[in-house]
Amino acid sequence: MDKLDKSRFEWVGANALEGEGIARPSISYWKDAMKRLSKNKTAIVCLGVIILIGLMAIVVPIISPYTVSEQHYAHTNAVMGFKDPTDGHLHLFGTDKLGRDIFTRVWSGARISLFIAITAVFVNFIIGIVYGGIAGYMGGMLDNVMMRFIEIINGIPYLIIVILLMMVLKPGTTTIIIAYAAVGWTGMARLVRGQLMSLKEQDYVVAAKVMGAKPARIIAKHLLPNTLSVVIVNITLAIPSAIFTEAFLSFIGLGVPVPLASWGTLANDGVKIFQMYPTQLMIPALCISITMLSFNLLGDGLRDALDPRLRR
Amino acid sequence: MSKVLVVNDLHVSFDTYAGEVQAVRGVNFELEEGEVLAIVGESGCGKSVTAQTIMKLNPMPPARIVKGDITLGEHDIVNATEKEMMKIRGKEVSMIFQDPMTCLNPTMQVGKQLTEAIRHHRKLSKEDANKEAIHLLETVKIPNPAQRAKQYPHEFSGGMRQRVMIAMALSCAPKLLIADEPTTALDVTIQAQIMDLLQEIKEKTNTAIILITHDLGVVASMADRVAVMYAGKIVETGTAEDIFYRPSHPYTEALLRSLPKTELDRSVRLVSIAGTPPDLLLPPKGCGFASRCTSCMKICQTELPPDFTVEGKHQSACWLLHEDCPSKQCEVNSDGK
Amino acid sequence: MENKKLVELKNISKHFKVSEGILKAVDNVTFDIMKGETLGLVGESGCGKSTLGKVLMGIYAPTSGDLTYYGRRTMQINKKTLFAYSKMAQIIFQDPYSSLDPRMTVGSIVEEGMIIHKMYDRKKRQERVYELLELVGLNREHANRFPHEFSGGQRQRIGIARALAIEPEFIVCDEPISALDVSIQSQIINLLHDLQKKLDLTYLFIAHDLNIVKYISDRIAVMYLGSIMELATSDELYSNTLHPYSQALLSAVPIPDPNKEAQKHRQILTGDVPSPINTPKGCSFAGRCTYATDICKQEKPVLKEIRQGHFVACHHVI
Repeated sequence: MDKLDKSRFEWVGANALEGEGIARPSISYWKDAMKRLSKNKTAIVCLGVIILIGLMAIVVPIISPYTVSEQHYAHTNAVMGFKDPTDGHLHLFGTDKLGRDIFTRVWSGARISLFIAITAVFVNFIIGIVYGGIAGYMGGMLDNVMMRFIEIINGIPYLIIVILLMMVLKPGTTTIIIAYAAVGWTGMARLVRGQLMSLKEQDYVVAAKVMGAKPARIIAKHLLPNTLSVVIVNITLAIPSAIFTEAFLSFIGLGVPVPLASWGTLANDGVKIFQMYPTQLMIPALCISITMLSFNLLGDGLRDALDPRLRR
Repeated sequence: MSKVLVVNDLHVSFDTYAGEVQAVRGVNFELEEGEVLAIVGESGCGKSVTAQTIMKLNPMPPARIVKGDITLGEHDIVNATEKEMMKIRGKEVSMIFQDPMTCLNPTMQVGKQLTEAIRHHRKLSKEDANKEAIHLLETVKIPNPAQRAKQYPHEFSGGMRQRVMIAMALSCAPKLLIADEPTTALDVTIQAQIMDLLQEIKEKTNTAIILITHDLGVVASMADRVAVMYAGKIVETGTAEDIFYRPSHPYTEALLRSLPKTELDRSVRLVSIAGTPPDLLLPPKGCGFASRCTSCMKICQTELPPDFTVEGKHQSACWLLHEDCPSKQCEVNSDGK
Repeated sequence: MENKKLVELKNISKHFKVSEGILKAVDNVTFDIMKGETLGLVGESGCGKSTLGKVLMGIYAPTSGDLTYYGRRTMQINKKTLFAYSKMAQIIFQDPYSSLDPRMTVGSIVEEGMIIHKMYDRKKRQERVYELLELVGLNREHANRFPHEFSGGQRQRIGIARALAIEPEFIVCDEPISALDVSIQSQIINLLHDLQKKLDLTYLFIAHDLNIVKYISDRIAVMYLGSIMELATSDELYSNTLHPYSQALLSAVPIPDPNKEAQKHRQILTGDVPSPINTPKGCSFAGRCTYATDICKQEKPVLKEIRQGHFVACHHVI
């Protein structure tokens, strides 16, 4: 054994209070989740794509030299990148059968599609949270009845409701939103109810009850904030479904009326001449697909980032 | 007697998004046939990681064997491929866990789970495997084994499920059984039954057992030898008597002193260890226990103590045992002052 | 120790209707908790000790029986008086990981009780939060941090600070140290002990670790399948264990001392703990008891005072 200098054995004693201090810097749940999300490259790329699409939807129709319904009979069905000889502007995506600039139509279609999807999901969210919140917190007989009602609604195919509503109301974006919201809220309601039922049993909720907290306080301060992460993920994943629903409805002719264009109507127009001018179908289809994929992957990333169990 | 297991300078780390967590920082121990070695320590000390590494159960990212050797009989575990490990697990070494419910397939009859384990390693026909399964259930004292074999895990109580797990672990007569907190989730009276059972099995089959636990009572009743772990290292090893009656490491002493003894009067305060174990993301330079040790010296804060021999095979990693350490210091400090 | 009653339980039962029948979690329990004492309540899983703790806190309403409180205010504990009662009695939970709201800062967690009971103004509440954190051995700076940044032992301290914020007299400790490491357990026990002396608290200490319970309790009640089998002072229970179940329970606890363990004659109970659903009539322990006779299977024994302050529910103990 090596001989060691005696001074090294000088007594120091315990300094445990240093041990009580916390080494890592304080970080709230949301900041920690954002940090984890930022490490997920796929999710960040998707977030970027979504932001890009959003910006394009806002900006392009404003700065484009063409309007949505402007028709140029001189060059219908032009190819992508076609340069208009008369005014020198580029038709980046070409023109359709009526000579309208597809690029402009795609991005103003984006506005409509995204607007419908986000509004529909938002309405679902509000109805779902209130309905699911009440059912989940109250439990018992009330919950039973409320859940059975949801099952009845789920049993009705939404297409029938949409068609019925179309017959009653004027076709338009509001109708589509109402149709989607009429049946779509059940998913969110079930989710929120399930969350509340499991959170109710958590010790900290019981602690608040024992402390004398009234139900309103418990729901607002303890239950809802802890449900938010699940709700956010659900919203992010519901948007692509709404986009697709709108596209589908427009595709089968139940969507937004002419001359408004959404991605669905553009795809519908494109399918008719797919054999000769494939780009007119592929472009809107690609837009729909990329947007849906981005939201889905972002939603996955959010779910992983917000799940506290994965915290190390 | 040949050595069933030799672990040499094992270092295991986890690569997390926050950095490298050094869960095991240099662990050495050996095990003979028929011996019961208890690895004691608190949560986060690395005992479970060590056990799981012996069977290579940790998913290899994020876990990583940084260095060291594990020799099980003639097998080199560290360099074994997954294929080789599959032959070793269950046959040479098997494990029982704390929570039997999560380790038994809830959708499969218990008897079937046993025969599955048996037929994986031994070439037996279906009937022979069935008979063997029923025989195993008898060995672990499950009443009506033939009937019980056809039942599902949820129809068994916690204690019974633990027995089934023990039966599964023993189905191929392994040389080493690792028991990771086998009785922590059980009631005291059931715990007594299971400990008795393990003792009986050990005597009958001469299987070596590594018993991982934080309950010193369980250690006292079952262990031949004890290794005390703290912050990823073994701080003291010895026979059960060495550890309980002649503890030579401040952590072991503090641990023993913090247990309420039944003769203790309420007017006497329980001795506790102030502070908390170190964060293994940034492990301390010197001894892991330094910040909480009442006998801490300058050298303890800067250099990792090696293993010093107290007597025979009783070893302790503490600078107090260095021949240059002033003995008056050691005396004063073992009083806890 | 004062001899005043603080909580009186008379024939308290808590039954749950389940698909297989009736689950008698707590079955006709009668005893008193004295002011200033620590009453330990031990038993194995399914014996009903946690349920009894929750009935005492008003989390469950008893199926039958009376619960009376004789502290700063005297009252029957029922739905109407629960809010007032919550200021007198609080609870500390077992699981440090689920007993604190992960989205709230430690400071707001501790402060919440004071806000609900409209105590003090904002400035004084902040002061009190800091005082409480220091009282339980943490720092002021911890008030701005979140529960996930703390260890199990520290979280338990936060839970204790929260319970103390509204100045209760009676605290139910529901297995407060079971989820903690051994070296941290003694820290929390010492803390609880000091707080009891400082603040004149009464504890009901529910646990299954008999060594700790013996150390911290003045009296101990042993529960099995919803009924109290034995109730005595800690010393008396250990030196004179009268009920067969208590005997088996105490002998099953492993002692951290190899020589003593080797010499111990352990009474091994056969079989498993039976289910509390549709319990048979008679003594609930009759099925596993080595001394059981016919009367044990027919008639349920009542908790009788056998010696001074020592109660046993058994037909064969005179």
